[in-house]
Amino acid sequence: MDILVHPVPPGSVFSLVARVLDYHEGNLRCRGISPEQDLCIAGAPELAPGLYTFYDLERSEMDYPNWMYGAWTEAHAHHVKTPFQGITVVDFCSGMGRHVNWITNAGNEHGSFC
Amino acid sequence: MLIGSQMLGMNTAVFVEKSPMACQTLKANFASPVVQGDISEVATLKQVHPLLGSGYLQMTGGFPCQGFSRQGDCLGMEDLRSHSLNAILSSAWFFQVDEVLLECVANVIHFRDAMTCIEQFAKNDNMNSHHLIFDLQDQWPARRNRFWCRLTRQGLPVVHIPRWPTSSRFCSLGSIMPLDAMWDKSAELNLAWHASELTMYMDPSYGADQRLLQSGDKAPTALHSWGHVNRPCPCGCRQALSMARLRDGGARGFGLISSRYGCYRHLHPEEGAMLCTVPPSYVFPLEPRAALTLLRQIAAPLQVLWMQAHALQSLQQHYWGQTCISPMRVIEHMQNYLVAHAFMRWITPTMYQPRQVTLHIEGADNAHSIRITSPTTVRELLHAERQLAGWGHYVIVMVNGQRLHPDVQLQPGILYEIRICTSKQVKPFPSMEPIWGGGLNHDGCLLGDRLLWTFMQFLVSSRNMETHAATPFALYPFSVDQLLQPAIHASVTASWRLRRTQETGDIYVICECHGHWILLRGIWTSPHQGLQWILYDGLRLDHALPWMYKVSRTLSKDLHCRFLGMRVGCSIPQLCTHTCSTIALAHMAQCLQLLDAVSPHEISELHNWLLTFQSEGSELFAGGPDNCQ
Repeated sequence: MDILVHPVPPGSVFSLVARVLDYHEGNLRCRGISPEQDLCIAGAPELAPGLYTFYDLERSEMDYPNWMYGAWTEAHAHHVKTPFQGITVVDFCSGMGRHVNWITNAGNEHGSFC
Repeated sequence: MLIGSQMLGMNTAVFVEKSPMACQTLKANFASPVVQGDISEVATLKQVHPLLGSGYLQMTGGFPCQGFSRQGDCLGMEDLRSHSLNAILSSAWFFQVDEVLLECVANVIHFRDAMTCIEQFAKNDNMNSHHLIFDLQDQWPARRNRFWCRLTRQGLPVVHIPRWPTSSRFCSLGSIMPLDAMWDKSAELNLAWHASELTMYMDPSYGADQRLLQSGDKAPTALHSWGHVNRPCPCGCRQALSMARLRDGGARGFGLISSRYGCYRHLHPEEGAMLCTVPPSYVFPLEPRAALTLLRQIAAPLQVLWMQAHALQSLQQHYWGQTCISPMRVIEHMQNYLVAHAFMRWITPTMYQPRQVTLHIEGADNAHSIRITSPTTVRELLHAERQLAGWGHYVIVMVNGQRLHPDVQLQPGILYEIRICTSKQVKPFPSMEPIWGGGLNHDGCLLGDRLLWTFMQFLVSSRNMETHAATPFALYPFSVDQLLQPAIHASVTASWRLRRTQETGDIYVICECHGHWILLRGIWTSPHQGLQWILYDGLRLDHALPWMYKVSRTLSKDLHCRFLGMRVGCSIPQLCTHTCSTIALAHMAQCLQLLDAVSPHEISELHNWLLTFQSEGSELFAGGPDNCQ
């Protein structure tokens, strides 16, 4: 689930999932999927309609367009699902790398067995 | 969690790991991309997203247990490491995965904030959730009670995965692996308990834990601190645990008595892997103690397999209307595989005691027993048989019709079936320097037909004394030119056939071909009712092949047997100018299992010894042609 757009203060950087509806004069008109909300992203490249994850969007100071496609922003499309053939795994934290910050030793002041 | 998933044909789009040591191990074992990064950082997600593909996507995550384990400080979500749970779930949202599979210690269920985090995510993102706690020790003699949670996109079937039943087959350590396995010296030295470890583990003030694994036990839960209680963790997660903490919480750890050195040692990574149900094919490019710390962090593949088999079963049923997956059979298959590996491949002290191994060559009437006095693998047997079978052949070793892996150790009490096959595409002999004999210029050094026959008969009678197997059939040494004359008298061949009815073993013929003694062995092959011939020639003279081929055909015909072909056996090379006769005799002795490997130097000594028996009466002498013949 994503953040609600309106309360986010200008200048904030966030990532969210939204459906691109159309592209018009450098603005992407989008619809967030959870919660459902309208977005307009300025300065974006032309993207085909479809579902995208936008990483590092910048909240603009305006209500419309309310987001900026910044230097670090990336939009990654979600492919249309192919018919089920099997399971593809994205393996996060396979368990082997539960590394803590060695400098701060955060959360590990006392050491641990497990 | 991929190890368990991979067995069901699932593939991994990408691994995301933070620890360099873990990434190194993943890269050593899987071809899938490994992204080293922090999952809470957007930069990592940006790297991962393009690798996701368009198929059914499942995110797996074993989130850190330190905040929830009774062995830790039980800070719950207040432990910074526990925030990985949030990072996993938010990544699942950004990737719009179809399913999330989470794993943690069972005790996490008592942390309301962690459970709320998961439930809230499921509710907000329209996913169904189902969790399960089950213990590895119900199916495998190692304690590992884990929390599993499966979140699935709405619209997909909700499966209530049951706890697995209790196994009566694998309920003690002795039922899954030998506890006296021997490992290489450097590994055992690395794993031997240091004096400080020994002192601590033997001191009850550091906890009354079981320190020595016994055959009838179940193993205690493996911990990340394995092998590093009083030293910094090699993954970099902590420094050495303080003595105060070790006294308060206890120094966890257990081991075995080294069969090699008789001292206490930590488990070898292969033993640790076996306890954690990690397949033996998994490699750890790390020193043994470091490998142990990683092993503890891996979700037990057998438990993963149980979860994933149910997941895949329900999805196949949902999408395809049918499934052939039986979770129970899947885990049984894996258990059998693991146990077979431990008992068939690990080296134990008993393998250094003399024992008999029984071999049966396909087509032969009888089985043979060979004595071995050290660990011997199928690979070594294959090599030896291939040497005997000769160029252009390969060998398969089977038990009960099942082909054995070359790393399997030969065991007594098992009948090994050996199949000798002809390669469909044979490379020519590797090019070699031509080897020549000394011609007929060394009269005093050449063995004659009479002497050869005396020793051939001696070998046959020695063989008969050693075994009750069929008597070998040997022919008096002859000249190839004589045998290939158009007509051997019928009475001669009739007498051969008569003898053959009594002497039904393999046929041994030492014949002279262009001044060179060569051994031919004819093996009776029951299924094909014919003779398969093997040629042993220390000089490897290609020009002798057509002649010897004719000889073997002629002899087959004269003995009224089918001719099944002739192949070239791997011969002792003739390095002296005149020792071909001794080499032929040595080969015959080897084929009759009267002689082990023999060096060229020993051949030379043997030849000189045989010459002392030379007497008059021989008509045929040969020593190998020189380069003028």
